[in-house]
Amino acid sequence: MKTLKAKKKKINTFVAFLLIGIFLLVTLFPFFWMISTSFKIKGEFFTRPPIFIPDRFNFDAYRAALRSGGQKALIDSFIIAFISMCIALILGTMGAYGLRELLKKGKNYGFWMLIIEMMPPIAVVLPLFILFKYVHLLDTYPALILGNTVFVLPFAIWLLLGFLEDIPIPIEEAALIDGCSKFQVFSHIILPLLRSGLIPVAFFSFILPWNEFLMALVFSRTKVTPLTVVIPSLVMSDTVAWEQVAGLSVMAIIPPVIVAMVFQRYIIRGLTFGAVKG
Amino acid sequence: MLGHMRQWANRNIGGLFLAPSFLIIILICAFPLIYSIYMSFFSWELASPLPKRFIGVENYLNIFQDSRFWFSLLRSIYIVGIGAILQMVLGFSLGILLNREFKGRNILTSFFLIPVVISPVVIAFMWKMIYSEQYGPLNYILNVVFYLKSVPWLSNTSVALLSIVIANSWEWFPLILLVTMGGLQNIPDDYIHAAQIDGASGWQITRWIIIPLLAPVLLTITLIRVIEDFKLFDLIYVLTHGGPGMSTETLNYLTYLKGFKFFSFGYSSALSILQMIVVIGIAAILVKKILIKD
Repeated sequence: MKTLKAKKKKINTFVAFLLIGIFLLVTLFPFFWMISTSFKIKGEFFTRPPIFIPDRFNFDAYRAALRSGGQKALIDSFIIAFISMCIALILGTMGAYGLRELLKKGKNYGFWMLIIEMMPPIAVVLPLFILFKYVHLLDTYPALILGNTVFVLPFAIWLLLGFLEDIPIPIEEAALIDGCSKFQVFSHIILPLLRSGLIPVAFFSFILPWNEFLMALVFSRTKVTPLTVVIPSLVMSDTVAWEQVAGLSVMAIIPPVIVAMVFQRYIIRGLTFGAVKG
Repeated sequence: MLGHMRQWANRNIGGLFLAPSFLIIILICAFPLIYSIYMSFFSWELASPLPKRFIGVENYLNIFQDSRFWFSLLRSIYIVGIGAILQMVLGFSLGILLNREFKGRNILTSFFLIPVVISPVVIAFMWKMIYSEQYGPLNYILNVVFYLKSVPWLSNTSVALLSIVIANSWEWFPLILLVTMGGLQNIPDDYIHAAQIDGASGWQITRWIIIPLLAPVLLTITLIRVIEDFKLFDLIYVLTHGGPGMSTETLNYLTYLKGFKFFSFGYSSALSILQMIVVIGIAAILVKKILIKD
């Protein structure tokens, strides 16, 4: 009886790990295929049967992709994402603290921030396009940075409001009684305590613009060319350079993947809009 | 004088700190939205020599009479519905499977995190390579391992939309996984132990203890996915451009086409306002009732 139960448990565990293995295979296979493709030489993509593992590590596609706009794309995406991140960190921290100071008694003040974050981008992209055209901002960094800020800033404020809630009010009150000004409370008490909240804010406010597509597509032309428009442009050229698409894509995903794996614990709350407090 | 100013600033620190963010949000979010509503009452064709002209609610009336709108809405609902089911089933089952102690569990979980943090454009290209009818690995595996015929993943009007749902669900089911794992951590061990002592099977524990306890948080994340998938754009743009024919043209994609391919700014604005109402409606319920609990 007991051995039968143990045996059944063993089989269950085996089946569970088998299924986990299948999940892992399906999740990782597209990455494997992209990396494998990035090492192929011209024409090797178009073979049948397809080549799963190329004979050698060939970096030609990476070099070619960097030459045909990839390098500028990496730099442009970095500039846009980095400045958006700085805006979100500085204004977001101030904004979240300010909002809490103003509405200490009011509830649900994060409501509007989340609503803005969830709004369909196309609803602001069209009027912003006309606005930017009118003030000659199309195809410039400010257009893309401002555009991304529409979503990044409210999200940062909302995330930070959540982390501010975790700071006990008595700590602030004690500092005020000891004669600190509100500014000192903010810089000497709130900011250091918010440190762990700043990690996910920095992550998301960098990664959202880095990955963003619609605004990049609509607001950019030739002077500013983020990754998400350059990668598709490699396909539109006369021959589809799949190796180059794959190579540039691999470079594009390295930063988010590394940061996400290192800071996994910190970013779950943001990913789930607070449904899970990681 | 300076002292007065400092005192005033100290008293109004809330307003002072909020002002820059507030101004930016008004300038680049509220103002464009209001302008969009305004535009939706105009006939404004950039491609035509006629100037823009006030036409009241005519754009909206035209939209409701346009079968292209209704079909695109149906496709959006299809993506949202099938996607939600797929993501939920996959994410939840994997969460239950991973709910055991073993070495390397954290590293394993972080692998599943990768798709949700990288660019959807990159994901679309990964799937475009995989779906490639002649040269892709998927059809090759179907042919050689399962002795099945090649599937025209992206070039057949009745398959393309499902192909997009599959790629999108592949990207987002890990989010449900994270929520499930987070929720499971919050269930006290006693509940499970008590059930085990009473002789409950793994399936019974899942059905009668885990699912009811996780239902609220799973509902929340499902609503978030519904809102996000309703806005799906990048995958469609890269994988099919709304085609073949119009078979993958969703409401969001139609709005983009009307605005930036046909340059019908008025019509496109009206479409985006309608979309906005749907999304904000769901989002308001979600945020007010569930995410912010006081």
